[in-house]
Amino acid sequence: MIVDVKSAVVGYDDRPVLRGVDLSVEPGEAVALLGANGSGKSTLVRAALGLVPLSAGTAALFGVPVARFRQWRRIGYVPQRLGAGGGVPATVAEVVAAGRLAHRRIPWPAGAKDRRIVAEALEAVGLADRAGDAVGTLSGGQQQRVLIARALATRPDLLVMDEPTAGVDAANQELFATLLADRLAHGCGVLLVAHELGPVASLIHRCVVLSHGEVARDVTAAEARATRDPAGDHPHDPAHHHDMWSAALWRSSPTASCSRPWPER
Amino acid sequence: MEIFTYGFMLQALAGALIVGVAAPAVGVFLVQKRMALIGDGLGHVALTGVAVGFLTNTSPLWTTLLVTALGAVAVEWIRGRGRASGDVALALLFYGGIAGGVFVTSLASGKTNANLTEYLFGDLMSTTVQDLWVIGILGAVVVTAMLLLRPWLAAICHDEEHAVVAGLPVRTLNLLLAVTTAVTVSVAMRAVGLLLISALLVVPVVTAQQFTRGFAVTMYAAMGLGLLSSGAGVVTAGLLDVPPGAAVVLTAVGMFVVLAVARGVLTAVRRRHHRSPLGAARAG
Repeated sequence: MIVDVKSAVVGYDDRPVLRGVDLSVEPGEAVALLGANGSGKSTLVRAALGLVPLSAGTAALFGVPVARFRQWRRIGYVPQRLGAGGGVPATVAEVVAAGRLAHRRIPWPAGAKDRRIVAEALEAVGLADRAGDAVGTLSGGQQQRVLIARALATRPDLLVMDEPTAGVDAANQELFATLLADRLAHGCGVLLVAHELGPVASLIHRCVVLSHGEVARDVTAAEARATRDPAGDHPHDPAHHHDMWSAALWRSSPTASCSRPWPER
Repeated sequence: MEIFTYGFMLQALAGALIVGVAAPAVGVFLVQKRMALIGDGLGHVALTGVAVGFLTNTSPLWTTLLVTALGAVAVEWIRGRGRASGDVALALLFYGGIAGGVFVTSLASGKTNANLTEYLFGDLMSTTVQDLWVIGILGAVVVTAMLLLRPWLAAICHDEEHAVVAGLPVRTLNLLLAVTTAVTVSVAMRAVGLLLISALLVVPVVTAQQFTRGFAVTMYAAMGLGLLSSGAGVVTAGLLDVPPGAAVVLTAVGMFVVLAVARGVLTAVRRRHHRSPLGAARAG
């Protein structure tokens, strides 16, 4: 198991956000984390990565407790949005090159291999021609692609994505689905926080629905197909119903995993 | 230019140039980290450091280095551990630093006739050859460290959370940046004065980023602008017989204003160009 969270409890200022949550991701498996705003989705992802401390329970990555985990180069993290920072510009290539830092030794400069992998990642998201542009001048969807390219440049075995398709147009979502399918086919695990699944729905193997800091449902796509409303907690929300109908399209069997997800790292 | 035939003037110029290059090299990370005012905070703490130097009869540079480094580490600690925000930590630095400086200086008043003014506003003209060596070595260390560590420091300043997930030694890098800032402040206090240090850290960076698209380019351009403004400032000071610190900072601010206006004009011209049918066709 590459993500293994058990009975996780997280509280901010004594207010419990997660109350004993289990979450697991296998290699080559795509798990969608669904739930309303404030249900604890982002907190669960952050806890799984060790970014927020657990007050009870355990979290492990690739079989190692997260506090002792050191193989960060195996993880590609796509945050919700590009941080603006203090306004110093950065080029698209510079942001994507940050994905190579997990592989580089301080303070040695980037090698030819790093540059080639960055170029490939930019090519994969269709932004090779924007490499020298300031990332702040790109559209929201393009910025999201930059963040995905940064994660791909790490050559990860696990992709963790926090609402990667929020506010992204249909064309960008299709591209995202293609990239995701390719990674899954190579045995990369995917943990995806999402509001709506859109074009990636057919790639998801399992769906975990959080509600008020607890797992309301943890169902395979096959079970989801059989259930009319796996979320349960939004019976009157038409938008949510729409999602649940798209859930009926979910594919059931995980893609056969492959032992070497990347030819090189 | 006759004044530059005097050794002290050349030493002053050399010291200012070194500080002019080193300060923006650190400042670019501070700006990106939204800690542009940390230089100011540490400048205030440096006042206590100078006073400790008076009290103990040691060179104020070393006591300042020690005290500002401690202050920098303390801010980093508060920022990382507590839930106190960056500006609360800064407020503590500002007021604690000034009060400490005044307090300790008055304790030392019987021992020395040195006063805080030359440190508040800088005293570049009194730079000795020995001072120059210290400034040169520390400045070289700062510039080298910032250039070599640029990708890693940029990553932690841009998105600290992503840097953690990338497995970078975020805490160590943050501490290193804080201590480097302290070193820069201590070295620069002779040149521009404790009250104006932050200007050299920040102003060349915000000037450069108006015209740049990348982080590395911004850093190099800011270092160039820092060099230019400290050189021009010291020459101006020598010719007009005004305090060099003020002349250096005014030059830097002047460059910012000129380039900001130039950029505004350029943007307006470009917009008009885009609005014309030809421009629209090209843009589309």
